[in-house]
Amino acid sequence: MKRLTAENVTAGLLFIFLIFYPLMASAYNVLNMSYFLSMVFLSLSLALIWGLAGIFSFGQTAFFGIGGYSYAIISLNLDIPDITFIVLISALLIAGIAAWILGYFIFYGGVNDVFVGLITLCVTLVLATFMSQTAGSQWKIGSVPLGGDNGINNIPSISIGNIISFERNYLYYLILIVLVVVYLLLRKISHSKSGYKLIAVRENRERSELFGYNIPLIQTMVFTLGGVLAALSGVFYVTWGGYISPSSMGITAAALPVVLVAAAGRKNLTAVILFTIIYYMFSQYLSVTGSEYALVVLGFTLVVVILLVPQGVFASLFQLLDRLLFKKK
Amino acid sequence: MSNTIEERKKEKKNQTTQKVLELKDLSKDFGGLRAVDEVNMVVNKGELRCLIGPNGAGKSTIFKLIMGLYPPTKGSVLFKGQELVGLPVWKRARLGISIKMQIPGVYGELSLYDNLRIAGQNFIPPIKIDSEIDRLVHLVGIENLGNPIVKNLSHGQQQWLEIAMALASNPELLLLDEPAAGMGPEETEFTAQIIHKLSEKGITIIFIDHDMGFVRRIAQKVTVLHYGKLFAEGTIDEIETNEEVIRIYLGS
Repeated sequence: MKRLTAENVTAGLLFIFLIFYPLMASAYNVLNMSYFLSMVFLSLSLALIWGLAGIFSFGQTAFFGIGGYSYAIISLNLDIPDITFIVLISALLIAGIAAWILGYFIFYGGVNDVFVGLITLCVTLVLATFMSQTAGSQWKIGSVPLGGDNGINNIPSISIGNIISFERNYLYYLILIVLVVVYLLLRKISHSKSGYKLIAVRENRERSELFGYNIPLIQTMVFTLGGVLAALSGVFYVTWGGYISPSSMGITAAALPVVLVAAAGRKNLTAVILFTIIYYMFSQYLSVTGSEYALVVLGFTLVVVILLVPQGVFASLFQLLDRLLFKKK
Repeated sequence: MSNTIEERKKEKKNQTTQKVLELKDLSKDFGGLRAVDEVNMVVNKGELRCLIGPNGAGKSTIFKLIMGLYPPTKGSVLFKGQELVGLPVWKRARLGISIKMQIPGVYGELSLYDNLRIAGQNFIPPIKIDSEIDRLVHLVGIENLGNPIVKNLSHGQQQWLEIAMALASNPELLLLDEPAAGMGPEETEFTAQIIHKLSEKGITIIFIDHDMGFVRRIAQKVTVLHYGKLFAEGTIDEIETNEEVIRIYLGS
């Protein structure tokens, strides 16, 4: 990872920029950037399971929702702001268990390729539909009403004791630190023995099994890790806005990570991070300055990118720069 | 004196580990078709055995039954005395059985060394993997290929790489399904040399081939299959002069 490549240089510059960003930008922009960064984990979860392990999931937002809702329901029920950090961990655990159970039935059942995409899409849509009909007062867990389409409000922020409460710049730096750690971890995994296991699963499952790889186990494990990462996104999102609703799991939300990861270059983690941040910045800019056209412009741009550079725009760009600047073959 | 002790040791070793592979009443039905019909076969340690037979005789199916790619309809597969039926494919691979299938199964999008790393990393400690890959590349004799993306290699080169990949697990039993299929005379000769070299290293090898010249060049013992049944077994000379075998091959 110490090698000088376009990808590493970009990642270094990006993180340096993000570290100093609060010194340069307004409080409003830092708040927005916290939101963008919290959504990066969702893209990373898909880059991990799809880009690296070849499992195409259309339902990472299901785990985003499970993470977000779990955090909301547990923290509001407990109503002890000092221990929300532990609630964060429990929310991740719940999402991890959910992902493991779903993954177990999918992969040990021998389901693969496009059918994984269909099942995960169904799961996320079922969850979204179910949550949106929970408007009545009979739908509550503990003392927390689920709120149907309106979702849950006033979700507390993450705190460790009464020492530190992660709001505003604190939340920004918490998310950034976790992002750097997750990024370095994933980079390390992808170049390790485990990384080659995932590549073996992605490239040819039947052949890899003949080399002694326990394919369903590897798939279930990476799917679980992906679920936890997506849930991390969900928790950061709800603590950022204090709010979660079923639309965060709906079809639009579910499709977005797939499109982002495909457009960025699904095998390249740095490309995925950069593209996700730029997408959300652009989308914010359009929705503030533009009108109804914003989403159309956005969708059109993504279609063009995917058509012109099927390998992903940033992944291809990194390769080109490597050839030009670093004489890498 | 030392000679006899060594011989005795060898004999003792032979008695305990002699049978590497034993098939007992092995059968496989596909729908109403019996592809493999009550085959009984023993392959001893260090043997270089060839399976021959007309198309559809069940040769490849036997390989797939040994690896666990199909469950057998009946019978059992013993590897060093251990029952394999019921074990998943990956566990059989870890026990020390390796296969090179008829259709090349290399990872086309990856580099040559990454192919070997994936093939070997379940069997080789991480510190040794680089030196071990180098050893394999030299053993098979493909060091002059460098480290290209594998889909750019020729058909023959991919076959050799696949033999190297099958060896990365340091197998006790190596199954080769038509290792020289689609190769020119020079490539076939090179492949024969590779198989000889491996056999000399003590690896038990079973291979399938149609080319009798190639079989004569390398095999010690030949098993003939016909309509899923074991038809004849013997040295290459016995087989080639067996009138029944000639009849099924040439048609009556």
